[in-house]
Amino acid sequence: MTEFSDVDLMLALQGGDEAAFTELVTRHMRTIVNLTYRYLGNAADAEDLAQDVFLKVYRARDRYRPEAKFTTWVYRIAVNACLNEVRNRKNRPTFRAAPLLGGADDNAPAALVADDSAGTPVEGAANNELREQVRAAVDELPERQRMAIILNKFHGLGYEELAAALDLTVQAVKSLLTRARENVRTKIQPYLETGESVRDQAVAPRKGSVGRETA
Amino acid sequence: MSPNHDSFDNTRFQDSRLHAYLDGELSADERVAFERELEQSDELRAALAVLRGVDDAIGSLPATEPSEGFARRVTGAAKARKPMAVLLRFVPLAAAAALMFAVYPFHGEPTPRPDSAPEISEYLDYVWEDDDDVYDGLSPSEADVLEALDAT
Repeated sequence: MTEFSDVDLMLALQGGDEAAFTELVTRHMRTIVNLTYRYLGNAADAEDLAQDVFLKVYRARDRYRPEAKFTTWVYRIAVNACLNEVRNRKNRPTFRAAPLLGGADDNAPAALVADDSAGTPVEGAANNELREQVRAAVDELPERQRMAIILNKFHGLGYEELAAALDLTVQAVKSLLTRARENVRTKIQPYLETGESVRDQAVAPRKGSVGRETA
Repeated sequence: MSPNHDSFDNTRFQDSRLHAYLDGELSADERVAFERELEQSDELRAALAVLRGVDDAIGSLPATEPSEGFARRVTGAAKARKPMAVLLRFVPLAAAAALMFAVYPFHGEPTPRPDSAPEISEYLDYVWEDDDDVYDGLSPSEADVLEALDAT
């Protein structure tokens, strides 16, 4: 089935081919689970919501039109599901903000992808400290800014695709992304003093620390 | 020059060209012009380096993998819903037919009815509001966005 495009598979599903749905889920599950995971911050909840997203795809299959790019259509459904989920959680009396983007108390059944950038324990600690700051900064963003930056930075959606997924104008997307990046920057700038890339910062010892670390 | 110095112009970070450049969204001409400007401005280069660091930092957050059997569970759940979904498709069809029959003599022309199958499906979704919420909240107004931005 791998030779078929997403559109081919959707048309086959519309024609009653259930195997086409299985193939679509298999193709896109990692993307959607990661989107919901990065948005909700808990892998178990993320899988539940991702399953919901695919069930919505299944239920809305007859409304899909081949003119629409399948991934954009799925992203729209997923974005909607994420925003609704967070809205519903906030309305629950027991709502407590989850440690988004995978906090330390994340009881995750899904496997976290191994971090291959940590290097030595010292470098790993520096990376971890920075990641915690970044994670916190992203978590604190307003919902749509957070969604925009997740879709842009993790899923590689350009302005046009983001506009379609978020149902906004390109201008509004630019504004959201600029604000999001700026908000994150103000929170983590102390960790980016030299303007070096994160990996460089983790690998290169800070000024004055060389003697202590190598002694 | 460190962008942390008090003298650094923080408004540099709001230069939309910096963000568009990092996002690869400048046109070829705009990119060339901007890179020329970059060569001549230490501050602009410093700001670009910081924002690139922000992007790298965000990109360094971990990813996850779906747990084993995820696809099987999803397709199983979809199939489990099917009998009810089929039944639900007939309920609005029957109800729509009954309503049109009842309303037509008293209220003049009914809403024009489509002929093809996909159009009928859409028509019924519109009249009877499908049970799913696929499209709920998909059209946030610009006012919502501006409100969100103002809250930052």
